[in-house]
Amino acid sequence: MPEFTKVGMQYYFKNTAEGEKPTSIIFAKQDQIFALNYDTEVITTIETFEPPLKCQPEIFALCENQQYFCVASKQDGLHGDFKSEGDDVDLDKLFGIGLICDVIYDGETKEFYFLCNKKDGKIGFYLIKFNEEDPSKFSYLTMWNHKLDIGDVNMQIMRDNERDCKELLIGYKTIYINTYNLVVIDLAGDEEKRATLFRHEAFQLWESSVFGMNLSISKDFVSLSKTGMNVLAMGSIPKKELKGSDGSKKMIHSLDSLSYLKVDPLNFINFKCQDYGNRVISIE
Amino acid sequence: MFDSETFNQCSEIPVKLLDSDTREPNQVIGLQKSKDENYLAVISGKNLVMDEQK
Repeated sequence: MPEFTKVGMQYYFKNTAEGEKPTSIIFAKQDQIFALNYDTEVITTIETFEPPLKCQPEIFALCENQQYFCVASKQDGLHGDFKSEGDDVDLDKLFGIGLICDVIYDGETKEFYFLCNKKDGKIGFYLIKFNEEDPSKFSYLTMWNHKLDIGDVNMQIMRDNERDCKELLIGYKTIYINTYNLVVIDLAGDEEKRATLFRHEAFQLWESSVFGMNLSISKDFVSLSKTGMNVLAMGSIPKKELKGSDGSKKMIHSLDSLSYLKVDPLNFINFKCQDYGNRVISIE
Repeated sequence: MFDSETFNQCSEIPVKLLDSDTREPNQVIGLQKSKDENYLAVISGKNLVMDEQK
């Protein structure tokens, strides 16, 4: 299929009426968003970018009803509306950002969460949320100018009905200090009382790729790399038993089980586990 | 496919990867489930330099 070149590998089944089988998948590429009907192999262009993105998009997020979208490569990002004839919004110009890492959509609040590594020419960790309809209604959740490149970013929203909580999980690796970090940000309750809840740092070579994901049933956060699998328990169960690949039994404790150490609810717990022989838990 | 509670392998996705004629191997580079969780869209291809995928 000649049209199917340099297509981003984040894609979605096109919504259908309830009970109907999906027949198309929506893809994004440098100059357009299109739907591929995999039964008939017919490609339909849904949106054309003018001018096109500077390179192949790595990030593509759609809202729940598939009307609004965000598409981004490392260098530039666009927000648009499939139903409107108007121009798409250039997100990198709007926010003054670069090195876009990941975008996710929250269906409950109808907002996009946007993580990038550069703002106003400064390298750091910048987390922005904005309204699905109007990106000019935005706010910065985290602006951390740490001067380090980050990579292999995975953002996910975790809902735990037992604890009545909603948390944003961000997994990423960091250059020079060679860590894989998990940052947990509270998304429930009053906006003023929300804070970063936990940070967990484990050793991860920058040159080696890593992928992190949250398992929605067990609430474990799993990171997969060449060296194997790392499991962090995120749910309300204080401890649980796992069996290692060598058959040995292991007990893992959830990050939340140490929340009692916090002096103030706005404190966060930093698990510094880069050096397995000298692990430090610090309240910050 | 693995069980998220026990981490034991419970099934396999039958994807036949094409032979590669360049140094980059063909691998599964995209995975997405449908909203009703009845369908899985799997794409195989190559991860190239500069974060490009083919």
